[in-house]
Amino acid sequence: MEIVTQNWGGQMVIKREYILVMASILCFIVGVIVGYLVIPKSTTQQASIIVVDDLGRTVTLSSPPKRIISVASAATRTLYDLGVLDRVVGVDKYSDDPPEAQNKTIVDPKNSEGILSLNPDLIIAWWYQQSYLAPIEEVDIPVIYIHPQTIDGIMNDIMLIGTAVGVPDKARQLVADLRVKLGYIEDLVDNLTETYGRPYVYVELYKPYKTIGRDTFTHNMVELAGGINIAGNLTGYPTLSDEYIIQADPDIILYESDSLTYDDFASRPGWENITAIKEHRVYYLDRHIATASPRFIEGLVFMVEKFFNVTVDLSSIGVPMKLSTQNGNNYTANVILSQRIFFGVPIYCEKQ
Amino acid sequence: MRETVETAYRHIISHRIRILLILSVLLFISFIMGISIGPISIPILDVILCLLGLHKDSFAAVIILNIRLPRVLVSALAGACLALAGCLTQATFRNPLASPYILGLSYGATFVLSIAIVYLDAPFAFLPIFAFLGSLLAISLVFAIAGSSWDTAALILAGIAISAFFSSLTSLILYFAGAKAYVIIFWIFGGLTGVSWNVFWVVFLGSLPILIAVAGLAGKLNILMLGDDIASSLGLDVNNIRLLAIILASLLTAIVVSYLGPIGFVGLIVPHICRIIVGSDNRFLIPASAMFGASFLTLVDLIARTAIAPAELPLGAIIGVMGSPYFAYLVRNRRRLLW
Repeated sequence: MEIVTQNWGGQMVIKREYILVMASILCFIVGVIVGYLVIPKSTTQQASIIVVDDLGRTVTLSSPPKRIISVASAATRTLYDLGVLDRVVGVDKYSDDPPEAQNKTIVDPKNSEGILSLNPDLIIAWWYQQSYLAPIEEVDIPVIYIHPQTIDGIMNDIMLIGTAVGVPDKARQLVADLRVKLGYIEDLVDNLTETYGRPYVYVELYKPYKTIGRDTFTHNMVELAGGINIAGNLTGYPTLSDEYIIQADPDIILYESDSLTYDDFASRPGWENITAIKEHRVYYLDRHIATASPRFIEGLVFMVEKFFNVTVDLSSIGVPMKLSTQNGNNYTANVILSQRIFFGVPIYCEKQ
Repeated sequence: MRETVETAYRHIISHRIRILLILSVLLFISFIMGISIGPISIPILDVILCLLGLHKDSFAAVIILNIRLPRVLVSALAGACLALAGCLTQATFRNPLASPYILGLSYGATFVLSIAIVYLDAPFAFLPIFAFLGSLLAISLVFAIAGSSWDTAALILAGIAISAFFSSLTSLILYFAGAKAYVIIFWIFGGLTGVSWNVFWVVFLGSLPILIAVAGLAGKLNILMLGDDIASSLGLDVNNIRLLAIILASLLTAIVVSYLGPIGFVGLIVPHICRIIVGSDNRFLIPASAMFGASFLTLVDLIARTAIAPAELPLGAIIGVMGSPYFAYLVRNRRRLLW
């Protein structure tokens, strides 16, 4: 390959075509870098809300958003729990919790035109959707990406979403309430595992043999509920083999696919030897409570109940709520903050 | 005798120029259709007003100017680049069934991109650089393997080896990737989702030098088609021109693939159809392929984003579905190919 040649004057010069080749490579690489530096545009408006999303991006809003689009199903539920679902104008097709969310306009996150036609002033999306929401970022519409990988991550996202939509106090209250409940469950699980040990758990997602690795929040939930995830030494969403599962011999099987039953699992080759099958401890796990919304607490309760055959009642656990009646009187509800099982005797702590 | 040959030649040339004009009109029409039609229906009057710069605040203006306009421009540019890359590759390998991907650059791009996403946690805006470098890596390895003779058979075989190598490595990465695999798989489908003005400028500036280089190459490619011996005896440096053509084709494809993912068959179908229309004279084939490729990709992308609106069909997949039967037809009828 001759890149360098002799010109008429006898000098060695680079052939014109190869100069163009190098120019092209240079333009491309420089172009991408410049594009990256230019895209986070500075807004000249007054920023009354400033948050940092899970991708480390600083997002500013000039006022609380009134037309929110959520293409992350967990965020839709969080918006509902924060009481701002009426401000949501568009959701994606997976945001079916609560069911009335599906009455909003259904948008496809890959279709920027559909999103823009709803004239949104805030978009909440999953972290991996950034590649197709780039044109929306470019027109200065605030986009928040969430990437919850642990239960703490879920609570951070609740705070993030609550602050972004302008109800930080509500979000703080919600998170505080969840934390108290979480603390209660942790104490409960401590006691239960001391007495009964930790069961091995196999969680099957929507696809047969697909399970959760240690870097997912569902795994975090299982471990917090006192179980041991049989795929806990793997990462991501691995697909296991029959041998692995039989050898791991889970005590509990949780599955999210709503088209399967116990018989489907029992009829798999060799599975009749698995403890969970023999003891009929195969349970359907509603994916709406095993997701990154405030309902994860229900998922935790479900898991603890199934793992240890107990009943967990959180109705009296939580942060003291300030209630006010119609005639304007204010009351403070006495709420049980935590319940410890101390030598088998429940002890209640009350907060005034 | 001389008169009739000259007039016949002039007839042919003017006929071909007329075809080029028709193709440019076709391109213009595709452009207009691409901007006016989309998943959200916007009346034509509004479209024209927005393009003229009025109606600035309406969401229609935002859609037209910020979503559709860059998207149509990029699809036209990408179509032209891929078609040109196809022309160059077919001229180099002297085979109308060659495509720019035979040297494995899409697998190289996918591989380096997968590493960037899974292990390097690269920000999304930088991913095209990794894909681009991956393409260059694949090409360089192909040249390295093919040895100093660099004849076409060696290049193709080296391309097969490199393709297999990188695609297996990519499979391994995907296997252990977890949730990030989704991003990679989405890229592999190919498409113009998420195209913004930023994408247009980078693709335009990156491909402009190459397009200039290709324009100057048309005449030499004509000579190359006469056969290696005749071309060398006419003073053409055969090997170097061939290598240059491959490098230019690979760069054009790499630029497109970095942003849009691997979109196949455009580089195969478009030059072939154009060869039927304007003949094999590269001075006409190259502009014709560029314009036809631009119209083709623009129209296919239009179908992709409106057929099942508001959802989008994956562009690479549709073209693959359309292109494979046509390619099979070409293989069957290769004796009747115009070449």
